Amino acid sequence: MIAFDNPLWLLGLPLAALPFVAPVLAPVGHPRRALAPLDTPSKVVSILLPLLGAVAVTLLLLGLAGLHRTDQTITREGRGAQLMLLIDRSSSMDNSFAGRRPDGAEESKAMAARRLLSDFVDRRPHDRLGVAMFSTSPMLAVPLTDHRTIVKAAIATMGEHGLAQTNVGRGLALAIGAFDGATAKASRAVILVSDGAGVISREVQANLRDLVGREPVNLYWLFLRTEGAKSIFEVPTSGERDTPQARPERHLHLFLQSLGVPYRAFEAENSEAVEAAIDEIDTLEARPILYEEPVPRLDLDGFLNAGAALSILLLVLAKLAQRDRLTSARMLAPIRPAEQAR
Amino acid sequence: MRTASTDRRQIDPALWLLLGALGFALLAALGLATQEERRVRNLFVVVDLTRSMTARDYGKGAKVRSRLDEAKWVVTEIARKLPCGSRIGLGLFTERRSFPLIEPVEVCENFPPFADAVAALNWRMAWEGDSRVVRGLSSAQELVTRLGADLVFVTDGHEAPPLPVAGRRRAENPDRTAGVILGAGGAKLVPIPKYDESGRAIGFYSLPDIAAGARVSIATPGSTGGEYHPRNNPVGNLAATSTEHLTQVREGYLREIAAEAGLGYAPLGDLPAIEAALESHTGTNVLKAPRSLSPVFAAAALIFLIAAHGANHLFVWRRAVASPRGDRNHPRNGAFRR
Repeated sequence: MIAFDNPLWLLGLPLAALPFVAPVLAPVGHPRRALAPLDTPSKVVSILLPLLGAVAVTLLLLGLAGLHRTDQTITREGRGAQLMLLIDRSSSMDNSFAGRRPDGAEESKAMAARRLLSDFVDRRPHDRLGVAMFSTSPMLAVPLTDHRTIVKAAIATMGEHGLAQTNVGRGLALAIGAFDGATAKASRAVILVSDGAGVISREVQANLRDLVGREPVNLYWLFLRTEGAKSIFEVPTSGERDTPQARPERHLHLFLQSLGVPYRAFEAENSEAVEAAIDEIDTLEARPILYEEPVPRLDLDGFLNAGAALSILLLVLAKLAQRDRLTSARMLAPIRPAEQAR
Repeated sequence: MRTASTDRRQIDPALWLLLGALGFALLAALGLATQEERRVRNLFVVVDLTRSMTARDYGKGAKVRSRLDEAKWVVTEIARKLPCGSRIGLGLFTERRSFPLIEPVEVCENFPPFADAVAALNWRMAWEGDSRVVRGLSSAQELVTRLGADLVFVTDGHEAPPLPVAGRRRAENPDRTAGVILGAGGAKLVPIPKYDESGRAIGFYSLPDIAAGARVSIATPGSTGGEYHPRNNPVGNLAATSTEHLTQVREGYLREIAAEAGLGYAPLGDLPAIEAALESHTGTNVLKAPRSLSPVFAAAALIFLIAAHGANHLFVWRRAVASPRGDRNHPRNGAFRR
């Protein structure tokens, strides 16, 4: 698309007619025009010179108006995916993997996840990414976008303290729903990063099944396991209670498995394990994707000014070639000297 | 002969004007630039997402919209008008905390996704129905201090639960934060929509929804007339006369806490006032940005080029008029002298 920064300058465009009215070459006074008949080169020159002037004026005005090309995108094919990062912002994420308040030696789960997710975003140049957060309520921070800085700015907020609880069901519903309207061709995935889970109510479960049925997505759960917490893969021994209330993480895992979409869970007890899991997601979510690469704004005033300079140069050359015949023509010697006439 | 040709050079300025135009056009094409100081801001916008913000008192007729819709529009406009190099972040306020969603990012490059994120703000993001504005404001001030930004706090100033009779806590005044409070809402009292658990509108809040405290508490012997108790019934007997279930912009109250917190105030609907408040209450950083000199040179080239055509024409016109007159009126050589 072509646009102007200061379109008011375009009001000056009628000035381009000036060279046709007022030629740059001085007209030569000649006693009789019929003596100098218009030949083809003269005709060409008499059209070309005003045209050059008009072109120069137009180009300068267009340059002053700030002509530029903008909003251009090229559709390219790369390897990547559309990813929604669904981040747990419950207050337990502020603790370390050992379940303690982080001291200088160990970082909190939130900080580890923040650092590793930020690296992950850097490594995947062709993805469309979005960020959703959840605690007691789901929050959409950044809808799917190609702009990586704002995605990283949203991930960076994990440095701030978290909120209250872990309401994972509604968070998932928000993240899956955020693909609405996005192209279905590319692979779509939700990466859930959390250190716990909650009971998903029956209504939300039904809602999630419904959503996943309409918008198939790949699910990844990166479970940041605190030391001593039960594994999501661990089957309870007999006598242990096996209910969503007692083992919400295991039951979330079972529920996600039952959704009928590709799903993988990663369990990480430290930041190295998180990194390994993210690496694996990196390789799994690399399918051909059509992505739009924006072409940055292209200012055309350089070309316009150069064109104007070229036109003016030609005009200058023409002007230099101008000969005032009356003054440069050699006068015939008078037939009779003036003194003699008197 | 010599004198004639010197004369011609002196009286033909078109060539010199053309050469000047050429020089300036070449300079313009070179793309020279100078350093310019651009004043950029670093803002962090916190939007109140409590229920009273869903009250619809902006616009008229079919175009009526909620305070939240108006806030989204104004925040997008603020972002649009910031000069490139400025940074803007987004957070939300509910209950008693301000919570960041996006740390400040450069505004020009990230405008489309930022506008999308603002458009995605929704009252459902609020994790609780409480709206303790003063606590939320101090939380926001702490947040922007850590982020190194200036605060733009959009709220209607409607405290829920209502302020205790014993008096409220003072807004903190951390000297380091600057910013503005934008007061959302109209001067007229309007009802607050009420939603059920799954987010369906089910009417409006009524007074018993707000002032239920008096019924469940036990008036202890020390309380005055059974109406007010610092812990059990802090808001006193609201049910009789209060309009707490309706909402309007509490401009006086917001100006008061803004003054305590060292912030400016502007009504949400008034973009020029908001710009003035931002101008006087938020800091600017000076950013060195290149500024192209090409327009100056191009304008000079244009003036010279037009002058070259015009001057030549004027000159020719004068001579063209003068010579036939001269021919006609000038006495023939020797005619008079004879």
